[in-house]
Amino acid sequence: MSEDDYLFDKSGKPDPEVEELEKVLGSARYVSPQRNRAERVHGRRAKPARSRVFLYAAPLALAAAILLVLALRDRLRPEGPSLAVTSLAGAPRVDARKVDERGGRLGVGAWLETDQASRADIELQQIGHVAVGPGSRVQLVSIAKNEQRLQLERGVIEAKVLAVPRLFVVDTPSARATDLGCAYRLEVMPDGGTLLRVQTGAVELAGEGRQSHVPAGATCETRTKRGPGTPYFDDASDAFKTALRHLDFDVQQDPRTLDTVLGAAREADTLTLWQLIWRVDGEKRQRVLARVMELVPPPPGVDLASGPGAFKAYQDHLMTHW
Amino acid sequence: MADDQRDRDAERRAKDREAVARVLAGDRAAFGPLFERYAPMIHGLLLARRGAMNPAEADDLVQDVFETALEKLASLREPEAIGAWLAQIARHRAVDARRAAKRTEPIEDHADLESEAASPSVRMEARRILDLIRTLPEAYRETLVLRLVEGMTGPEIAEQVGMTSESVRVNLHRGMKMLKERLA
Repeated sequence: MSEDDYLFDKSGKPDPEVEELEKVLGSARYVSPQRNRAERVHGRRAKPARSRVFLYAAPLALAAAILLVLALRDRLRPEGPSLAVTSLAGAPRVDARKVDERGGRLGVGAWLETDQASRADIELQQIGHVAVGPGSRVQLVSIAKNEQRLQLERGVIEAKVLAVPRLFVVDTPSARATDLGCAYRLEVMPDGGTLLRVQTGAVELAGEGRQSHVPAGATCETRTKRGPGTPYFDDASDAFKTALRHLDFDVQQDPRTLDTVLGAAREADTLTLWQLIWRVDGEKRQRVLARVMELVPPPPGVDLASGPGAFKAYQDHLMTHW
Repeated sequence: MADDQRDRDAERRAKDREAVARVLAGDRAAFGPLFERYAPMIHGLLLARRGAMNPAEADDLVQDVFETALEKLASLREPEAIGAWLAQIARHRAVDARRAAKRTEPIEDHADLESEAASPSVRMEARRILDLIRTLPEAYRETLVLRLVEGMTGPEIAEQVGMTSESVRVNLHRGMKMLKERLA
């Protein structure tokens, strides 16, 4: 036995100085997204759901009661694969069946609905959680080995997904959000448009022939029949964001709108401009590219005229400014 | 006890081998348990890097490291050594991030959790001590962060990062001695 045993493998007599450091530094410990969600839901370390059984019954009656509860739960459990649902507030419902404090299951094809006073949590298989906000309607579309897919018809969800890209997908009326390993908030507006804000990682948004890559700290709006707009960082100027919205979604375009977007752009807004390049054509494309190069010059040795490899290298360089 | 540890290590290596094989065969969900197992170690190594990185920034980079690992998994020659391989990716990623002075926003939810779990004074003290640990030689600061922040034992550190138990013990001993001098 050595005096370092506690420091090495926590055996032997605890060292008070080491214990004190563990207590203080443990506040910076990594917490997995799933434990985050469970602890916030229950306000304490999460426990598995338990059936309520009357413990003061006689042993045989107790056994019979347990079997009855389990049998009823099995009858109510959906056939086939399903996801666990927890009620966070109010009375969320799965296909009109209330989700109580014991939790419920969302089967393939079933709908989870929350009213204005309800919230719920959906536990994805092995990869994270989705918090469902008030006034929402969400369907489990499919669960497969390589994909778990929801449909958000209205309302808002916040997803926290482990770093396994493209395993989690959400369909909305105006776009499909494909997770690339991240946490994000996705809201479907009354008109069917969506507002996506990515907190960590990245999300790919696609619809109506458009595709947007939305990294951490950025927001992307979509409109029905128009698809996703161009993502922007939340701290971009109001003038930039307003002009961008017009550029993305107005049917009749004011020729001065692009001038405003380019004029109001900062170095970080090259995130937006880089994706805008592929949405405009002709002379406009040249102007957008020129502005990107003005804000963040290509690194030495990168000649964009030399082909796709140079564009990839330039994009990698731009990403260090986002 | 040493035999128990060896058995546990062997079992873990077998599970890692199987998980890697399944991911390479197309079962991406098999990556989840690998993430859960190694994310604290990666987080600790990122926090141990020189240069200011708060826990929220390290969380962001944990995701980046695993994304990179998933893309490059086919190049891993020894699946049993996935821990050491991930550790290398994390160290490179931390250097890249510091060079680029990458913009990351604080994660609001993690900040909320920190406020639920620890008082402001504890958090400030944690940052002060973390800054001191970062002034230590690399080998010492990594093992100290993994032990004191992430709560891993010496044998776990050795097994995950790919060091011998003896090296980890020496690093912890010397690192703690230097840290105590700087704290005094």
